[in-house]
Amino acid sequence: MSSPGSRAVAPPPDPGLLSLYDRALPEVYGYLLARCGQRALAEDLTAETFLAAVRAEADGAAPTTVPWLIGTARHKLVDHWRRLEREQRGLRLLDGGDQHTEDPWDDELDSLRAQQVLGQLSPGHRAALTLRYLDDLPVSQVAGHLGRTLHATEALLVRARTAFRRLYESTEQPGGAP
Amino acid sequence: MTDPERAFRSLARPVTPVDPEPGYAAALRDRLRRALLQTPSTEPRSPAVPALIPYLVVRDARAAIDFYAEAFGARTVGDPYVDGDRIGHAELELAGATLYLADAYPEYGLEGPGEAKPPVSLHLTVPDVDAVMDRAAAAGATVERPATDEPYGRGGRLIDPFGHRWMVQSPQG
Repeated sequence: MSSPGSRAVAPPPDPGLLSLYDRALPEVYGYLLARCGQRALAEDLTAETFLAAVRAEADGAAPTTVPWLIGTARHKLVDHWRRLEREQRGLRLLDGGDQHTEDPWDDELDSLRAQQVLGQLSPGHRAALTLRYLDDLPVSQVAGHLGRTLHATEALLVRARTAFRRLYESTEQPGGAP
Repeated sequence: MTDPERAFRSLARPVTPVDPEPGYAAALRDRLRRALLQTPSTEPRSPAVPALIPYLVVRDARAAIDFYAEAFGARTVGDPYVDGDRIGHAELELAGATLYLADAYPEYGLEGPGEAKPPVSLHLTVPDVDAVMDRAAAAGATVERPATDEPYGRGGRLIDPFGHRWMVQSPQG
């Protein structure tokens, strides 16, 4: 047997994560809700994120932090969109084909409407635009999250922006005035 | 120059905390607490059963498992034996040592501590007495004697919410 004191009473893993929980929960939930826009989905992904932290701590990973949780939440969101895209693949409309040129677009986006438009895009386009513009990640990191090459991601972003703009402009009120 | 991304840059959205429904927050906390209790111990367990193992009778074994996890970082080993509303047997790993506990079985004469001072104490050696005492007190233990420095090290005593006494001690540094 080991001598007394050599087996440290480790700071209990649960109070560690549970005491972070109160502070981290609104951050994780707020991140997810702002990006997926659905309460039930944000709740599910929040739970998945925290349960992943439990597993990580059990595997002896470094203590959980809020940035770690946000990064994990982002993975969960991308996984969700990927699942959705697989389910919808058969139904998806053609998204503009080979269009690789874009006109400059100088509209000031209305954030509420932009959010609605994002919600109507295909999961793949939505994921690309969210990671690139809402999360403000460089294209290389977007590519990493989506499991695509840099080149394919740039092309995807062009198509996603085009799809977004088309939808955004089609929902514009005629004349622009209320 | 033209910038096809220009309009999109205004979409950047820093993380704004949002409080979820209180009911959801409480349920998820409870789920995490249970998940944490179920994660297997990272300490390698000695294959031999120690000759001497404290076997505590407690008023509410489920609450006791939670308390020992919160106060001392204990983890359950295997699944507790559930007997109706009662826990008939649970094994905990605590600082590399083994602790058994169960709910009271008055029909067999097995009862938790009463109002009297417990004659047997659990002596727990830890690296940071004050941290452990604070954590235990926050989790519901009563401090019987605050931590003091003694010739043999720093130590204090507490009575846990189930009536058992713990002598928390760190070796002389």
